[in-house]
Parts: sequence; structure tokens; C-alpha cells
Amino acid sequence: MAEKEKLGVFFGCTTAGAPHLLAGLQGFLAKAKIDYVPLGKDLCCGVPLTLSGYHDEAAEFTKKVAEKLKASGITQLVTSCPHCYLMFINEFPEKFGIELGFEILHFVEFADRLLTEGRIKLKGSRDLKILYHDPCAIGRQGPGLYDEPRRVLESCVQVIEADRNRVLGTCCGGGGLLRASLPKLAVAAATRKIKDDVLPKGVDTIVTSCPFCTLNLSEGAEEIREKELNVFDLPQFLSDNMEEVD
Amino acid sequence: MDATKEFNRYKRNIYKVLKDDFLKTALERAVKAFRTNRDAALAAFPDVVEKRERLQEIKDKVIDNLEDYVGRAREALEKSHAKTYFASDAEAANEILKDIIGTDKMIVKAKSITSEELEFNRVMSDYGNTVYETDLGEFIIQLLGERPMHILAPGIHVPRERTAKIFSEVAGEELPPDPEKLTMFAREFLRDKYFNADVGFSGANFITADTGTMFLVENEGNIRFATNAPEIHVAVVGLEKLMPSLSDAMLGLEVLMRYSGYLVTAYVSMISGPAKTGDIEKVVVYGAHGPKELHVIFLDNGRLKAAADPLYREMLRCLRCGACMYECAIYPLVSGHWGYRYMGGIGVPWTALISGGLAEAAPLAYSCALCGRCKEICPAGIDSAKLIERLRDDLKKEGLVPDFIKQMAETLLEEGTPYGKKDA
Repeated sequence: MAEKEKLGVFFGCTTAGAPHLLAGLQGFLAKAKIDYVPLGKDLCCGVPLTLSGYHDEAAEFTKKVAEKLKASGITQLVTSCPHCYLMFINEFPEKFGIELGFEILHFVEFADRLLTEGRIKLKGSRDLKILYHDPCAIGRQGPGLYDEPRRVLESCVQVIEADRNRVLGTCCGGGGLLRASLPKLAVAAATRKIKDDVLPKGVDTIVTSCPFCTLNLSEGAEEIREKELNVFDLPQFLSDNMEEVD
Repeated sequence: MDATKEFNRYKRNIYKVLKDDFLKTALERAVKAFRTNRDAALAAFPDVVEKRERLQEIKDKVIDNLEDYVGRAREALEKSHAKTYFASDAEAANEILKDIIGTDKMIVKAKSITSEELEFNRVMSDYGNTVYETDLGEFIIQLLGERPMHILAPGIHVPRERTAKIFSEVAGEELPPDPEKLTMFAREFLRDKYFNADVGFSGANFITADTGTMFLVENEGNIRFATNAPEIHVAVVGLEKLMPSLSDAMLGLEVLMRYSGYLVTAYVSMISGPAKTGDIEKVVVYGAHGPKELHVIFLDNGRLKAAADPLYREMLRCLRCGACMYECAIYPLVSGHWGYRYMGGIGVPWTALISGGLAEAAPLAYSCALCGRCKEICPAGIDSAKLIERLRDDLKKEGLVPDFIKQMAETLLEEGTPYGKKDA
């Protein structure tokens, strides 16, 4: 990265509100020795407003978010939340006419770049099998970020695919405000997904790239009696499986 | 209507349904079987993928000119000696039906979700008629006094033991929970009803504008009997069923069959007019062996309004193949409890605009994870998530937002995040 470039990390309220997810992302950034401006810990991107018809309010709110982001002087923004990401790349310009004027990356793209540039070193074992769950918002709803997380994960572990994956992947049930409206239904969807997709593969670790998916799948996994399962958000998983950069 | 009260009532029911292990078992079996069948059908006819794109274009062309196509279909039907009607809403359709059918009549009925919009069975019974559902699933549901939980498999939620119990009551003898024996009982029970009925009632899967031909797709054979044995056949057809021509409808038929999980269905009836013969000195006599009269009621009930909306119009492409429901992360958990007369994700805009209304659709709109999976499988490419998002906008405008949304929005606007300040 050139001298004058300044990276911002938008944590997003859901990651910021879950200590283990927050620690995971912070841990990754620290181990990779990334200089960044922390953003969006106590500021939402506004997506709950646009998903519930509060458009006038969202127009005002996103303006404030944009001002704060611009005031930070960043030249590039990374977020690990697919919903924040979609807001910034799609809704801000298309619905609210806001041009942020800096590059926006989802964490899977960021990690993929760091890996390609040799700026992070992952450790792990090809014996460790994980199943990767595709979040809808960076997948079929967004630009289809399917290869990036797999490239990163394949460099340290063995990625097992669900029978239905990528654009055809089954939703975890955690999106669309469902965790707010009918939380038990959201979790039941996650449990069902794990039974369908994960258990038949004999895998006990699920990695995904979305705080909502991570939280919802974790709760869904708790309902499964026959097996102890671990669910990780990608930053969290990488942070646990990387060397500290000198 | 109090949006919060309605939402909470709905939520209690959904949570109760989540605990129903019988339902869970029945649904998982159905989902698995359906997916296997559909995958096989699509693999056997890979050209259906290209056909679905053509179908979308055809459907959009019709949706652009619905009134024109209705006019042409009516003209063609009238030319074939059928009588046609246009009903702007369910009430109007029911008045027309009462006029045609009258009272004290026996009606044999084919499965039709459009008839659910009219509450056909209740309205006709109240008017002094007897209605027999002849589709096996619908027959079971009718005996149980319940409502369909799936558009193709209305009894998807009923385990065989319950069917055996209700059939035994009707038979006056103990029937075993054996699908074959239960099916044979229904067959025998309904057999003479077709020939004693005054009226056969059906919907249609497609109706063509060039010839006025209704396509009725089925496997059981009940539709053939119900639309052929009685002297009068009455059909109610939603405007979205219109197709420009016979060959377009054939294309739609192929797509519908494959996406509903069939290589081919046992039967497709094509009906364009009442039965007729000219075999005695070329004198045309109607009602040769089939019905003497054919009445076709075109039903608007909100469809023209939907067609005029740049976003909602997409919902009129729906073929009712049911493919979306089996890929959905939510529907297999709760079946038609997530719905009113139309169900699942696509059922949400259909409830709002066609059958039920905004208030009825409000709780349903917050049951979708907006994941977009249904669009990928939908042969008509309907993006239900986008339609539901749009519906949430309308609910906000109409003040039908439940409290949990209001509180979330208020917290977000006051404190910067929907979760509120964490340092408290």
C-alpha cells in the first residue's frame, strides 16, 4: 500500500456487539500488522432501515454515515459484514445518491489480497476439514464473492463443499431481519441447514464470512445433540490460524 | 388492524408449528422426494433452462397487455360457443358463479388455488350447494376442515395416520394407514359423484388468447372426470394464466411440468369449448358426450393493479410449480402457516395484492430472510425477496409496521445502532 493510502475498517454494529467476533477481527488485523482507522463500532450502516421501509430516515442517516466515513480521510474501506458491504456498494449510490469515493472491500477480498501479496501467513493443516457457508449478501445478492474465501481457506485447511453451495447455497436463516422478527424460526432454519449440509459431510467446523450467519449458525448448532460443532466468522478463524507478521 | 397484535398472534402460531414433529417429518419427506424428482426431470430435459428464458419473455409480454389478451381469449371462447365473464374481484366472481350454478346443486371440484381466493367451498355451501373436492389431497383437507398447506400438495402436512382416521369416519369402518388402500377408498367414494354432479368446477394452468384453450395439468385423472362428466363446466381463471398462443402454452407446459418435478404428467386436458357433434346431418348439437355448457370467468382481483406496478408485476409470472418452496430455508419449517391463501415467499406479495390484503400480508413479510435463493430456481425468474422488501416499504407507508421494527428503527436513529449503546 502506498504511503498516502489510509485504510478504514468498518466493524459494523453486529460484529462490534459480539465480543468474540470483534476480538477475531481485531486479532486478525493486529497479527497482520495492519494500520487502520477503526470505524462503525457504534455506527450502523443503516441497512435495518432500508429493510423495513424507513427510506426517508435512511436517506438522512446514510448521509451522516457517509460524512463520518469521509471525514476519517480513508482511501479504502474494509468491512467483514456483507450487509454493510452491500449497503456501501449498492444502496448508498443507487438509492441515496451517495458516492463514497474510496474503494470498498469485503473482508474476503481483503484477506485474499493480503494472502496473494504474501502479507499474511496462514498455518493450519490439510487434515483439518471445514465446511464453508456462503453468505447470501456477498454471494447471489452481491458480486458473487465465492472464490476469494475458498482460496484463503484452501491455503491452510481442507474446504469441504455442501451439496448446495455458492449461488445455490441454502440460507442460514439469519438475514432479512428475521433474527429480530422471529428469532426461533431463524435459528430453526440454521439447525435444519446444518443437518442437511454439514452433518452428512462428517465435518465439525463451519466457517463463513458474515456476522449474522456466524451468530445464527452458532445458535442453530447448539440445537444439534449428536455432535459438537464449531462455527467461525472468517476473520476469527484466520486470526486463530495465522502467524504473527514480523 | 393492530399490526403488533396481529404479528404477535402470527408469531405464537409459527412457534407452535415449529414444535410439531409430525409436520416436520411430513415436510422433510416431501422436500426430499420433490428435489430428487425435479433434479431428475431437469437432467432429462436440459433444454428446459433455455425454455424458461423464453417463457419469461412471453409472460412479460402478456403482463404488459393483459386486457388485450383477455379480450382475445374471450372472443375465441365465445366463437367456440363457451360463455365468458370478467370478474373484477372475488365478490363479483361469486355473484356470477351463483347465477350460473344456482342452488341445491352438486359440484365436483378440481384443485384450484384461484378458487381459494373466492372461498369457493364456503360460498357455494352457504348458497345451498354441495361441493366435493376431487383431488385426493384437497379431499383430505376438506374432510379435515383445514386449509391447503402447499399449492401442489395441499395435504403435505397430513401424515397417513390422520388420513386413515378421517377416511374411517366417512367409511364407517376401520381403514388402515396404507396409502394404496386409502387412495382406493377415495376413488370409490368419489366415483359416482362425477356422474351425479350438476356442475364440474376447475381452474386452469394456462389459457390461450388465440384459441381460448384452457390447459389443465394433472396426474390423478380427477380433473378429466370433473370437467367432462357433468353437464356444466365452470372455470375460474386468473388473468396471469393467459398465454398468447397454443405453442406458447405448450412451452409453458413443459417448463411447469419439469419444475414441478415431473418428466411428464399423466394427463393434460385442453378445453376450448363445450362438447359438440354434427354427426347427424351436420346439425350441430352441443353436449355430445362432454358438458353442454362451458362457462369461463376471468378473474382480476388485483391482478391488473399488480400488472401496472413496475416491481410487483413480476409476481404475475408465477406458474405455481412450487419449486421455490422446496429450496427455501423457511418454508419447509412451517409450510403454509407462512401464508394465507397463497404461501411461502411468493405468497407474500400475492397475499398483499390479490388475496388477503396488506394487513394480512404484514406478518408474512417479516418471515423471509430475503436470501434470494428462490429466484435462482424459479423458472419465471421471480425475485420474491425484492418484492417482499418493496412490500415492507408499503407496510411502513400504511402504518402497518409491528412494534419491534419501530423500536429497532427508533433505537438506531437515536443511538446510532439498532442494538443501542453498549456502555450502558
